[in-house]
Amino acid sequence: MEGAKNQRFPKIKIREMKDDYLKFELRETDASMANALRRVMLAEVPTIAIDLVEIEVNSTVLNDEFISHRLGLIPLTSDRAMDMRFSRDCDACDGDGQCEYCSVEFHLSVRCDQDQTQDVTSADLQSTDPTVVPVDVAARSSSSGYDASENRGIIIVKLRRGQELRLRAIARKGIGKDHAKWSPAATVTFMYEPEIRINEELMESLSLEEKNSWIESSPTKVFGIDPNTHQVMVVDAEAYTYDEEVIKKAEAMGKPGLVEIEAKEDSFIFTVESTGAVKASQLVINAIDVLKQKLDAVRLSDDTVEADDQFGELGSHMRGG
Amino acid sequence: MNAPDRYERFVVPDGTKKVSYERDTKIINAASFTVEREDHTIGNILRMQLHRDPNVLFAGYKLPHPLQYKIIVRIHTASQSSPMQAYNQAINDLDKELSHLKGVFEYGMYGRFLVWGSGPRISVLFVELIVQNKPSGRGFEAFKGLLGESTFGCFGSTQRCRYYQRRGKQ
Ligand SMILES: [Zn+2]
Repeated sequence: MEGAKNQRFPKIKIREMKDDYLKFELRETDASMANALRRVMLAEVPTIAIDLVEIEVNSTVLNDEFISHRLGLIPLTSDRAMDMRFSRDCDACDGDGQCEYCSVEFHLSVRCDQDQTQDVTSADLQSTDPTVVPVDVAARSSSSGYDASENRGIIIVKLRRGQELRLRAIARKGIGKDHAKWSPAATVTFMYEPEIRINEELMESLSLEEKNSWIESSPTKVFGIDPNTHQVMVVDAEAYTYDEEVIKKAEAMGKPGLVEIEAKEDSFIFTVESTGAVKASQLVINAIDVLKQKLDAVRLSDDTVEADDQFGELGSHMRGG
Repeated sequence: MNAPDRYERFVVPDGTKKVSYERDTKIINAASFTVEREDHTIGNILRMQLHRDPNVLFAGYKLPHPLQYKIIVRIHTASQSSPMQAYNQAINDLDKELSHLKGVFEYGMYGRFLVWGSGPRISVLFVELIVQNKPSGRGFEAFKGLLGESTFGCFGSTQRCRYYQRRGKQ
C-alpha cells in the first residue's frame, strides 16, 4: 500500500513499573507523539469522581460547597471508567443517580457523639458499587505492600460533639479537561534522552584539578572521574538538565568543544505518576486508546468527501477539462 | 449564572460538523480543514505526520483563539496527491502507529512480569527480541508461538498472567 512508509514503528522499554508509578523509554517517534500522549494522559483519559452532592444535614464548620468540592477531589478507583457512559450522553437516565451506565451513588452519614474531635474521611463514604471506591480504601483492603497502619483515609472535615454530616453523592465519568478532579495523572513528564560526547583528546590536556572543577561545575551529577586512570566519563547522562553549565565552564576554561551535548530528537524518557484512579501502566494503555478514538473522530465524513467530488467535477468543467 | 457549560470545550454542538473542508479558491491542491473541539493534541500530531508525506508541500495548523474550541489544518500537496488524500493518509498512519505502540507497550509489561515472576531470563530476552524486531503489532501471537500454548500460563499465577491468558484466547 502506498504511503505505508510514512508510518513509524516506535519502540518501548519499561524501566520501572509500580501500581502508581511508571518509567519507560519511548523511541523512534517524534515529540508530537510523545506530547500528544502526555496531554491525553493528563486531560483526556476518563476517570470517575463525585460530581453532584445532595446535603441532608451539615452542621459542621465547613459550608456545603466547601465539602462538595473536597468530595469531588477524592480519587476513586476508575477501572470501569473506559466502559462507562458520560452522563450527558446517557439515554438510560436523567443523570441524577442510580444509573448503572453512567453514575455511582455514594452515601455518607457521620455524627460525633464524643468529646474528642472526630475525623470524617474517605473511608466513611459508602459506595453502591464495590468496584468504585476511594483509592486509599481500595489500597487498604488489598495486599499491595501498602502500610495500612499509616492510612487514616483522606480527611473531608472534622467534627466536634453534636456536629453531623449526612449526604448523598453521585460520582460520574469525566475527563481532566472538564475539571482537574477527573485527571488520573499526578504528573506525566517526558525528557529528551541526552547524547553526551566528551572530546577525549581535549580532556586529556586538562590537569586533574581542572578536570575536577569542570565536573563540579555541573549542578547535577552527570560526570565522574576514574580514581585510577583519572579519565572523565559520563556516570549518569539522564541527570543532565540541559542547563549548559559544563559547556559554559569549558569555554571559561578556554577549552570550547570539550563536551558536546545533544538532545536526541526521537528518544524520550517518560515518567508517569497516577493518582491511583487507574494503574500507571493502564493509564498509558488508556491514553493510547483515547488518542486512537480522537483520531477516528476527526476522519472526514462521507458527505464531505461527496460534496468535494462534485465540486471537483464542476472545477474541471470550468477549466475546460 | 450565564456561564457556558464546561463541556462546550469538548462536545461538538448539535448541527455542527466535526470536520469541515474548504478548498482554496486560488491554489490547486490546497485546502483547509476546520476541526471542531480539538486542540494542539490532534493538531500537532497531524501536522508532523503530514510533514512525513513527500507529497505534502505545506502542512500547518492553528488554534485561532483559546476561546474558539477548534483548530484549522491547512494542507497543500503536489499534483499527484490531494489534501484530502494526505489528510486521510496521515490519520491512517497515526492510527497504525498507535496500534503498534499499544502492542509493544503490552509486551514491555509482560517482559517485566517475567522478571519479577518465575520466568527464566531467556524468556525476557525473547520478549525483548520480539518487541524490537516485530514491527507488525502481532508480536504477541509470535511470542505465544515461540513458547507454545502449554508453556504460556506457566510463568506465575498473578493477575497479569491471567490477563494475558485471557487475551491469548481471543
Ligand atoms: Zn445514565
